[in-house]
Formats: sequence, C-alpha cells, structure tokens
Amino acid sequence: MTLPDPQFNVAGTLQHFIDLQGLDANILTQILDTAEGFAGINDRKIKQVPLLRGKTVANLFFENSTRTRTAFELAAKRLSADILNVDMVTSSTSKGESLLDTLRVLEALQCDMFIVRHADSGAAHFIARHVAPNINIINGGDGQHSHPTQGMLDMFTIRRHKGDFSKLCVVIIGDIKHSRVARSDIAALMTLGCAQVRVVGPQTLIPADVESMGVVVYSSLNDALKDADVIMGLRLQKERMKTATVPSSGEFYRTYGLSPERLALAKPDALVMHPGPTNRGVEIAGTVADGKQSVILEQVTYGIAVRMAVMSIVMGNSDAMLAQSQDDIMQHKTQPGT
Amino acid sequence: MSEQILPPGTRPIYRITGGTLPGASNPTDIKVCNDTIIDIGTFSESTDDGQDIVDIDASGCMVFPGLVDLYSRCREPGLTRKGTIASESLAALGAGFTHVLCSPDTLPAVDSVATVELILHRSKQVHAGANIIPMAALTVGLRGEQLSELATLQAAGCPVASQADQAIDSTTVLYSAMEYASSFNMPLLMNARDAQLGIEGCAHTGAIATKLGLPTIPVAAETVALARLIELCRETGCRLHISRISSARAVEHISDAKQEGLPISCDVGIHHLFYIDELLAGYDASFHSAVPFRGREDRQALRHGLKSGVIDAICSDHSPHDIDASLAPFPETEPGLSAYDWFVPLLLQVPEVTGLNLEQVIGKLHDAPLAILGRDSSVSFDKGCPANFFLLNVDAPFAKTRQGIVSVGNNNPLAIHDATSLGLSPLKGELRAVFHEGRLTSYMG
Amino acid sequence: MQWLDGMIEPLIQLIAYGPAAALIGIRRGGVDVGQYLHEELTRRGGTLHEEMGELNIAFYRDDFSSIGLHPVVGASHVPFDVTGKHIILVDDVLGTGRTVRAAMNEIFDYGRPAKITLAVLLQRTDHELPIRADVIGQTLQVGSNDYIDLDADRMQVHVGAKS
Repeated sequence: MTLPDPQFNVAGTLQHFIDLQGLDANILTQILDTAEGFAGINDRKIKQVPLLRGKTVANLFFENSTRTRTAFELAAKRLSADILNVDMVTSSTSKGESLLDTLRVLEALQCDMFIVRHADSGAAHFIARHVAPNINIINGGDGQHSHPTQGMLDMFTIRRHKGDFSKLCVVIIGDIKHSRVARSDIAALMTLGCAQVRVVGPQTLIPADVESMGVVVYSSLNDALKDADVIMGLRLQKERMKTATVPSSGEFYRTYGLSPERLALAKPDALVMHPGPTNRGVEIAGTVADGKQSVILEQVTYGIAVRMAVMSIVMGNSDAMLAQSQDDIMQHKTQPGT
Repeated sequence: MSEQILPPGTRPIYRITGGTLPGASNPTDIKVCNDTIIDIGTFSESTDDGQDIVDIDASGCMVFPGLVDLYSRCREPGLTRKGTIASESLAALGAGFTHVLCSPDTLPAVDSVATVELILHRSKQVHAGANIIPMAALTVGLRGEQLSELATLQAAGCPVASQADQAIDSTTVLYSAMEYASSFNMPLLMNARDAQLGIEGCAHTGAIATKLGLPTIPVAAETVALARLIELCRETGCRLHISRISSARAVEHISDAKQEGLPISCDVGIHHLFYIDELLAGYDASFHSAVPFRGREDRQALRHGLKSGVIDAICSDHSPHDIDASLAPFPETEPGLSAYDWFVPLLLQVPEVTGLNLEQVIGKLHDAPLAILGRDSSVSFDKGCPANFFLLNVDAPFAKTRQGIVSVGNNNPLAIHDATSLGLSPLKGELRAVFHEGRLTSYMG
Repeated sequence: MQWLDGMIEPLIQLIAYGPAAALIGIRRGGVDVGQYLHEELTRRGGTLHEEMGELNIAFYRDDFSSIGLHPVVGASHVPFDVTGKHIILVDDVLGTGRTVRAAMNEIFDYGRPAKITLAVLLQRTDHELPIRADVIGQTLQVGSNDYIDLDADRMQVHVGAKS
C-alpha cells in the first residue's frame, strides 16, 4: 500500500479503530483480553470505571442506528466519559456541507473521540486521515467495508464459548457482498487463525474474488453447514429484492434460511450468531434465534465490554503519546512548535 | 540555401541546432521562419549574418512532431474552478501536445455553435497554448435522447462527435446517431460503458474492491457496450473510435472487429498502461478514475494491444480537478487524473512496458490520432513544412515542483507518491522547447 | 516464611470481632500472598468469607493519561457483596501507595465496606501518598531505584537495584 495505515500513530500504537484488516493477532488478542476485564462490570454496584473521566465522546451517526449508537453510548458512560449524540442524518451535511467542513466544526467543540457511522465505504479512513491530532476515531460502520467493533464482539463471543480458533469451522450465511460485518468477521477470523471460514449464499450476494480473503465459497447451505462450529447469519435488507438481487424473502429462507432442520446438520454444540436486527423467518427461524444454541443476545451484552476495551485502548495510546511528546519538549528533546 | 531579408515587425528566424530527428542517426539543424521550416541540414553560423536570429540549442534532445490528444478536458465553459482553456492548453503544450481534442461534457455541453465558437475563440487567445478542438456532443446535453446538430457543429469546427462518459441507454437512439453521423462522414469517439451496469461503481470488480467494500464496475459493463457499438458499426458503416479501453476482453473484441475489416479504431489512456486496481488500497483517491484501473492481466493485455497495433493510439484522459474533488470518502470523490504536468516521464516509460521504441510510441500520439481524424499524418521535417515540433531531453531527470504545475489540477498520483512506490522507474524527461505554428515556447532555465 | 507467618496473629485478632470479614487480593502479587493468608487464617479458625476476591486494578490506575492502558490480565472477580463487610485488602508490596488507592476506589465501586484493613507482606519507605499498611510482614528501607521481586512458588523475596 502506498498510503500509510491511518490507524497507527507515529509511535506505532493504535490510535484509531477503523479496520480489522491491518491489525495483527496481538492487537486483536489485547482487545479481547481487555474486554474480559470489562465484562464483569455488571456485577458491581457502580457499573463504571473512571478511565475516561473528563473525556467527551461524540457519536457521529450519518446513518440511522439506534442499536449501535446506544451500545457506544453505554460503553462511553461505563467508562465515565461524557457522551454527545450528534444527529448527522438531519443535520447540515444533508444540506450539502462537505464532510470535511462538518468535521472541522465538530473538532471546534473539542471532543476527544468520535464514533462514526457513514454510508460510504472508506468514510472512516477519510475522517481519520483528516482529523486533528489527538482525536480518536472509532468506526461504527462505513458503507460495506468495515464494522470493526462488531467483528471484535463476535470474536469475543466465539472465544468465550469455543476458546481456540485454530480448530474451528465458521460458516457465514447470506449477503456477504453488502455486509461490513462479514468483512470484519472474515478479517478477524483469518488473523486469529481460524481453521476454516466458509461463506454461503446465492452468487448475487457473494462478492467477486472473495476467496482472496481466505474463505471457501459454498453455494449449498446444507453442504456448508456440515461440521460447522459457529454459524453466523447476516441481515438481508429489503433493498435486495428491489435491485433484482434476490427474488423474495420466502425464496431466501427456503434456500439459505437457518431452519431447525438445517441447524441439525452442523455440530450439536454449534453456536448460532447474528449481528441483529434479525429478520425472523428470512435469515433464521424464530425458534432457532431463540433456541439454546443461539448466543445472539450475549453478542449484544459483550458488545458493551468490547467497545469499552477499544475506546480505552485507543484513548490511552493517544494520551500516552501526547504525554511523551510533552515530556520530550520539557526535556528539550524536541523544539516546541515543530 | 537562399537568404531571406525579413520585413520589419516579423518574428525572428529560429535556428535549432544539434537535435536528433526521428529516424536520424546524426544530429540535424532546423531553421524556422514564421510558421514554416525553411531549412534542414547542418548550418554554419556565418550564413545568417545580418538577420534577426535566435539560436536554440537542441543538443542532447530528440525532435518530435507536436502530439495530438484524442481525449482531454479543459473544463471551460462551466467548470472553470477545475480548469480553463488558458490553463489547460498551456499545460498541454508543456507536455508536447500541439493539438487537443476536448471532451464535450462542458457546461453547457458542446451541442451548440455558440459553445464551439467560444472554445475556438478562447483557444486562439492563448498565445502559447495548444490548439483546443472541441468534440461535438452526440446528443443534446449528452442526455442520449435527441441528436445534436451534427452537420452544423462539424462545419463550425468539430471533427468528431462523442458522448463523453455518458452512456446512451436507448439502442434505437444509438443506431440512429451512428447512421446520421456517417452521412456526414463524422467519426464517433465513444467510451464503451453500459447505461446501468456498474453505473454506481467506482472501482474494478475484483479482490481489491471486495476487500474495500466499494461498489464496482464489472468488465461486462465495458464489453457489453462495446459489443453493441461494434454491431451497430457493422450495420451503419459509421466510423467508430473507441475511446479509453480498460480490459483484456475489450482488446480481444476490437481485434476481432478489425480483422473483419470494420471501420474501428481505439485508444488507451496513458495511465492505464501503468496503474492497476491494487493501487486503490487504503482508499487512495488519486486512483479514482471513471474508466477504472483494472487488474494485472488487463494491463498486460493493454500493453500487448498497443504493441500489436490493435490499440491504435494513446490519449491523456486529462481530468483536472479542484482540491475539494478529492476531499471526501472514496466513493464520493470525483474521478479523474490530471495528466499533463506528469505526462512526459510516463510517455518515456511506455517503451519499456510495451516493447515499442520511442518513435513508435510518438506515432501513437501523432500519426495515429491524425489518421483517426482523417488528417494527413505524414511527418515531414522538410523545407516548406509547418513548424510543429518539440525538443525532448529524454535523459534529464524529471522534477515537478508545486510551483511548476501549470494545470489547475494537482490530482495526479505522482503529486503525492514517489514513482518507485507506484511500480514505475525513476522519472526522466524534460521538454526543452515547443514550436507550435512557428511560435516558440521555451522551457529552458 | 517467617514474614508471612508474622502477619497471621495480628489478622486473627482483627477479624475476631466486628463485621464479617472477606479477603481481597490485588493482582498479581497480592493474590499469591492473599491465598496463603486465606488458607492459614481459615485453618487457624478465623471467620473469613470462604472465597477470596481478586482485583485487577488496570482500570483504576492514575497513570492512564501518561502511559495508556496497562495490559489487562483477567477481570476483577469479587464473589461476595462488599457492602457492610470488613475487607482485608492484601498486596505483596506497598510502595508509592497508588496501587492501594486504585484498589480502594475499585472496591467502593462494588459497594460500601464497613472497614478496610490493609495487609502487605513488604512495606517500602518511598511513599508518595498518605497510605500505610495496618498489618506488615516486613518494612524495607529501599529507594525508588531498588526493586523487589516476590517469588510466589518459593515465597521468597529478592531485593536488587534497577538496571
């Protein structure tokens, strides 16, 4: 790549969390281990730790999402940060102000961290490249590219139940082509050494050359589910019917829906996962979503701890780098102003 | 050699000494008066005593005929924050182009005589710039519905008609347009793209776009449209030039069509001989191009096609942009590379990636475009011929500072990246001077 | 080990009366010391909650702004309600006092203890906060350039100079 990865600062530590591609197993494991530390927070009377006290986190959601936004809000509050919800959907950018101008205005509010969700792939990269130094960017989902916190909470859930990734067969079903969750899950699974990742769906929903990401493509769900340890469903958006990608949700369920009969083809202790919100009777049968193999609600709970981990790690790295450079200035190692 | 006494008020005689002409093994001197070459050979200085002489040292330089650009954008009228006829014609001349065909997608489109005359007039006003020649918009407003007044526009000065980067949806309209244009022997210069398939895309369909989650432009978007154009060409007999092809499959289609003897030619944008989709990694907007950079095999086929002659010509595909055009997430950036300020060093690397020699490459930028436009392409450096040529030092290192950028557009990968990081050889090449209609533009010191 | 054994008797006295006692160790050295104390106290008949708590104070440290988040090894685990209890807070070495401050802040996010007794195997003399242990195995006159290493398996202590 000719452009440097904007996720890392000059000290080589993670300062933005944008894309699981480009992060090695050590960083991913650090995030999972840190999240373990936060997972017990509900056991306390005061469900907070003081790490981000005095910091302001702003949710910049250019696409609607109550679920992800609330999860980030809760994570920020549990870290004792102040949270600002900026409604970008009806704001000035929809009136034609450029993304960059909007960013400058928000920087002037002196927030420490932005959680960004945007409809364009590459939006988080763009913002991270142009944001003022010492502001952290967390990607809450950019177009079809990446949803890294969802990827991490999926890994956390799998690790909690299954432990070692190197022995697992993970199957991802549905609209991989348009799914940032799928891309993030695939990147994380490959990095963590997953034995086999399978993607399955109609060809209209499988992106070109997806094998280059390290996955095996199946067109038959029954074949794909054999010996599966983890099954991940993906949301099928109604738009797909309008753009002639899938004829109907009924046909989708008949060919690629996770019914109880199909679930039985996988290993008996296989996990059933879904990033939500689920379309019951389309991607997954209601009984399967509610069944004993389903960990869908756990994913939501773990999402808080994982987001707390990501936010504290990048914030800590930025603060440390800032402290170090101020230290260097104090000791005349660098000239102030350079 | 006859002596000429010049009447007062005329331009001086230029004596260009020590340059290497095409096909020559020894340096040759050229003498230019007004817009004509008045002598060729080896001169001694004494023979011109008493006359107003300007000596141009061309030692170490190759001498090439002024290049002809089959696709460029000057942005004027209507998009002048991205470029003007003045700025872009100057930039073109600095890249060795003396004649530039400008895309009709200005605002308004070039579908009226008034716009044609504005462009021609502005171009004439620029003393040291390339000649800007407008293409006619094939349909009114490029909307693909109603034919433009092609005969009138041709008479006003448009040698070809084009749809720029807009596809025509209706095959009926396209058929009719091709029939109509052929009545006036007006060639069509068409980019092959489907009206719907890939219209939302911004990158080649492949592993990179999959990883980046970008909407894509499949090869089929080009080849299906190309097949349609070829079939209609066969039936209507319209002279067809396919502008800026991008895929291996397109090269095959055109090769087959040519073997049949159909009146088809094609060109490739210079950047497509070098850049591929892998360079989009990290959402590098400098590689966002309306004709996408495709995969390695496609690039290889384009290079072979140029060598084998299936691809007749090279164009610049010059697309200058203002700075805001690239300050957005990748899918929202405006596509296009500003070509002229970095054209010469790329031109000089075409031989090493295609196996053609430099003279043959120059042919793809001079002889072939002229032939496609139905003009006489024979180059002569003889007494009495027009003085349209440039001096190129092919070994001088190439250095483009910010201040040295002539075009309004800085949007070129080489403005921000090192050549070797893009898979290129170190950049060389320096234009020393251009003679255009006898006027000298010097870039020395 | 003699220093450890010397801590048992005072602790027995402290938990003999008053609110119900429970032991919490600060990771990681405090957990090893705490485990030993917990076994001994239970064996000698002291009334102590049967499970021991463990604190990972990574989220309560005061140096987050200067050195970022410390690597987190395991979650804190306090398997009892701290409210109203007499907490025996155990660490291996008390130095600046910041670790203990962080631990106390964390305990108070679990609830409101009736009392906290600080028991450390070794107390250094380079304090930076007004925190001193109630039960001490041994006091060591060491400067900030010295380090102390607790070998958990052999319950041995090594003192050396930082390199």
